[in-house]
Amino acid sequence: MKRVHYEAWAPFGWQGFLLRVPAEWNPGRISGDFRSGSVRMDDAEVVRMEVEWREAQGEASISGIVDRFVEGLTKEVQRKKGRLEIQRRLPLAGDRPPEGDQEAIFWEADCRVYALVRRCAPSNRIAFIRVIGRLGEDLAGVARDIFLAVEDQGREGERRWALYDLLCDIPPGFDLETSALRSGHIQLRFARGQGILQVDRMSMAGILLKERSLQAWFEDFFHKELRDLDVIFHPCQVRGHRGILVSGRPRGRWRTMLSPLPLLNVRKRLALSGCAWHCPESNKIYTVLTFYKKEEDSIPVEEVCRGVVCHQAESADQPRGDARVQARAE
Amino acid sequence: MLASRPVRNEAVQWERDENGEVCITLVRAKTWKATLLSKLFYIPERRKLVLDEVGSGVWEMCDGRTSVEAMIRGLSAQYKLNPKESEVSLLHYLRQLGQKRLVGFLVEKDRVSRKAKKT
Repeated sequence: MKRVHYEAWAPFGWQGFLLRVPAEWNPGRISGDFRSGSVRMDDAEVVRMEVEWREAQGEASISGIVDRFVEGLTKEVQRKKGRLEIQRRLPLAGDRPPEGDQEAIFWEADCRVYALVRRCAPSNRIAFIRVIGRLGEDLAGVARDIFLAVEDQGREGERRWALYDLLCDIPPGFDLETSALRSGHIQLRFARGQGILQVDRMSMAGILLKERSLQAWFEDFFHKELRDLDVIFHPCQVRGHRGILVSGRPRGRWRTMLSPLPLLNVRKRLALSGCAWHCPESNKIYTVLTFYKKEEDSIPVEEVCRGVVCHQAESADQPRGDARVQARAE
Repeated sequence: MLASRPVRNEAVQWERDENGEVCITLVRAKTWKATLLSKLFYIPERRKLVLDEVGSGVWEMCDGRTSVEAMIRGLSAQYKLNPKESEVSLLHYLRQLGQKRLVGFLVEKDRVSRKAKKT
């Protein structure tokens, strides 16, 4: 049996779950929302982990859920006339469940799977985490490290989102509205009432900013968001990097009416407050944009920027550090 | 795919321009279809394809000795990219170059025969 060991680990935070996973595992498929959904993590070759969650609806104990799962799994393997080995109540997730009850199990059929089924009290959800190994691979240590670090952040408080080198703490009450996980560009867009909060991370900043300033790049990249706004830029410092503070007010109604097809392309009149900075250490551009209708719905952009970790020099466990956003009028 | 070693098509003419970017000259195919179409439509006999900084770097690495895996590692280190990001972009780019027949992919013989045995 080949014992699998990983040197580099990275945080993965999605929809209230925060895990530490091997750095070479990356999300391959993401679906669902806070109430129910799933994430699949792959390494360069195979699927390594699956996380599924759903809202608990007055179900029996976790052991009852595991009973039903094992029953289904046994039937499925019998139908395929395969071999199945199951071990239950493994001491992989610690003796003391930090929140709600849980059970760790192992099974071997066409692959070796360590799984944790946990009732997460803070968010009232049931999580099913499976760490998958090939036959002949011993992933028990890896699974134990993952299971021990699983954290449910609940819905009420601040939530940490982390994937593909992006790590940000999002203020309470914001739910993920859309996400774009493209190669070189990650965008998470959150909504709370009328307010919108958008965090973007762009790779290869050196090339993007080779022949233009950060402001010129920003105006070009976000031209759609800026087109109905009167925008003002101010230089600022974010985490020791040079950046720009952006604030925008909706243009006059008459001016908007004169734009092409104003009635077919109705957009909400939202004000903008945002920040963008270039982190040379990670060769990335980070932007935080907040859109709001009324002043009381606005989100202090400095507060959000403090929660965005841009480079590794700062501890991933303490993303807030001593970051400051200092605006300085030109 | 990751173990394969991309190699430039030897028939393709290319050079570095004054900006250090790779400039590939594509010559119109000498087939009856291309000749017929060129009579009906304007198809230039030679066409230039200029690769950007990253593309030029990848093109240089298509030397038949560097594996796709090594390219991913190289790009990740050079541009501080997540390996998955490099992998997705690089595979897409190499696929495009392959479709245009600008590069081919060298694969170890025993690897091919093992795969054939499996199937």
